[in-house]
Amino acid sequence: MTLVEPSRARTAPPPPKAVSPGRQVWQMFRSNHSAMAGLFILLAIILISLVGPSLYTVNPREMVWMPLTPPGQSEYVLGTDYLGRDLLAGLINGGRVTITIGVFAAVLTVLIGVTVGAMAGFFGGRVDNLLMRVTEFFQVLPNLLFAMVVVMLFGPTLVNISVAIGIVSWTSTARLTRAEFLRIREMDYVKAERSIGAGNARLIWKVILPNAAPPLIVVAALSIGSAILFEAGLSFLGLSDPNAMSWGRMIGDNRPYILDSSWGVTFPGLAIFLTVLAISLVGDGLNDAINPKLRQRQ
Amino acid sequence: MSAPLLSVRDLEISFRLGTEETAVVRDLSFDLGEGETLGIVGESGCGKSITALSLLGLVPNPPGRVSAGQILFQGQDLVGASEEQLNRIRGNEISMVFQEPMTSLNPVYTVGEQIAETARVHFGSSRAEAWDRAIEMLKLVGIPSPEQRAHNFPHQLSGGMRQRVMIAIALVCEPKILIADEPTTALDVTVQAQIFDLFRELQDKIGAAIILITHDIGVVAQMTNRVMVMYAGRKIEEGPVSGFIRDPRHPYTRGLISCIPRLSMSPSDMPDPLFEIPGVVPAPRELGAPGCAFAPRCPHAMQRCRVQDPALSRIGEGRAVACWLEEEVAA
Repeated sequence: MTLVEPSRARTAPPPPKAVSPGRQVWQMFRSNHSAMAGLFILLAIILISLVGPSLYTVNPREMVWMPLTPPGQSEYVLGTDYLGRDLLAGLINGGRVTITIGVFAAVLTVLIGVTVGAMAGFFGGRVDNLLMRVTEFFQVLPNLLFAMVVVMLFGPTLVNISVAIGIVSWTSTARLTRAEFLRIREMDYVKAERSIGAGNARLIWKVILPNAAPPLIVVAALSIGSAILFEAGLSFLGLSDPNAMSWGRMIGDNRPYILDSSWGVTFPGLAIFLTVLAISLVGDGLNDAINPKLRQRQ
Repeated sequence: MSAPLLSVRDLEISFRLGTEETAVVRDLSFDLGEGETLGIVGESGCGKSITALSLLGLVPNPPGRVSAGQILFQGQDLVGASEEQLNRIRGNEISMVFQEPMTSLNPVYTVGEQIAETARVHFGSSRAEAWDRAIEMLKLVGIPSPEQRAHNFPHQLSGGMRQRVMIAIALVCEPKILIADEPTTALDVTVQAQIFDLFRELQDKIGAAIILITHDIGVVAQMTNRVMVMYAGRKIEEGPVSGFIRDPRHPYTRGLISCIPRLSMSPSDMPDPLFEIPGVVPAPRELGAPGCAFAPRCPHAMQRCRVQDPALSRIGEGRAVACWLEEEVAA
């Protein structure tokens, strides 16, 4: 048998430069034009929502002009609503609330979904059975009705609305997380980690979850979009925080006047559409960038 | 003589198949002294790997469980130990290197992080200390330019290097026992030689006892002090490696040794085709039938072999064999 001294077996080639997975994903993402477009739109919307109110200082709750003025006929370029409030000011201020609710509800969705799915997938057996029955219970509830009941019971505040959206939308995240955990917990490296003394908590959060993360990141991004739509839906039905201006609420408020003044619902609708479109593009881009099997697709 | 480091007593491991429970490892007893290298040999499916997993309390449960016996590590019985106690021992006192280096490293962390993490879990050392320790370990297992390699992800390393990393992880806490479950099966023959050299070198440095699981008799002859042959979940022969190779007693062991082609054979002497033991290892369902489990495949099987299971009997200088032939010879 050849006895090669391992440390000087041969002059080693320079090791490849360590490319972290995050960096790789960013490189893939950058080369995806529609995803980058989505990212720019999204960043622009966020920027406008953050600094817009201090640049465009018209109060969105104040009557500033004749009600139902069409766009371009006054100094308020997008026109006014049925109470004579400036639509542009409404859009700029409403973005904050809409995006905050979207993000907060998505965070809640992911938190509940990942925790339930991780426990079910990791422990299996009875725990899995119980948690999946609970998940099914939430799945068969009509989402909108259930959210409406929650909001009506506890009052339409921003927090309650976000919680209601989170509670009705975590189920698919839980199922996805469970499936990933079921797959990954059988991997050799999980067994190897066990053999060096990793406890359950470490296995769940530090070993399996990072490996299950790619599809979850995509779902998390996309669920911001669906949460925004959900919020718009609730507001449209009149279930919005009366103290907060949001895009959905603008649509809801102007709904009765839609035949006389279409602009009152068109502009907030467009804002929602653009935001959700941008989020979907980013989510799809992330999906392509993270999932190596789809990388050749473009 | 002082108590052995590890002492396995009458171990029985059972698996539930459908409604009935079958013992896949039965009446297994063996000792391991400090710094000793024990080889466990046998075909696939004869209970070697599950025995190794049981030493770490990692028998997949359900469907498996250790149904009887004791595993005494430094006097502590690991069979009834809590998960918490086991986690203190795993990786710290007893470590394991697996068969598949390609899939046994976590793909989302750099190899340096994975080694450092183990040190942090067991020693509670700081991040910087653990990182230094990781680089030291990479150097120890012979990975060139360890400072840079520590930042690599597993997919950037070759199979041999990954196995070196696995060994580094297993040894970072300087365990008393290292279990190597066919550590080179997935590697090239040349890399295999390097890995075994590494094992020997590290054993000298760290002084760990090694349990080497393999089906390669050549490896056993080179690496180990003592050998235990398993068949169908039982120990059928045991002894110092020299006697074992020169004078195998059990027909199964003899068969295993005859399976190795020898370079000294001239092509005309070479059996054609190469020798093999006819038949296959019995499936777990077939275990527990009366008689010697090897009898259906044994060229020397007698009437008695089919009805009565031979017990392990001592045959001098630390050797033991479970075969009726021994009694025939003695009589």
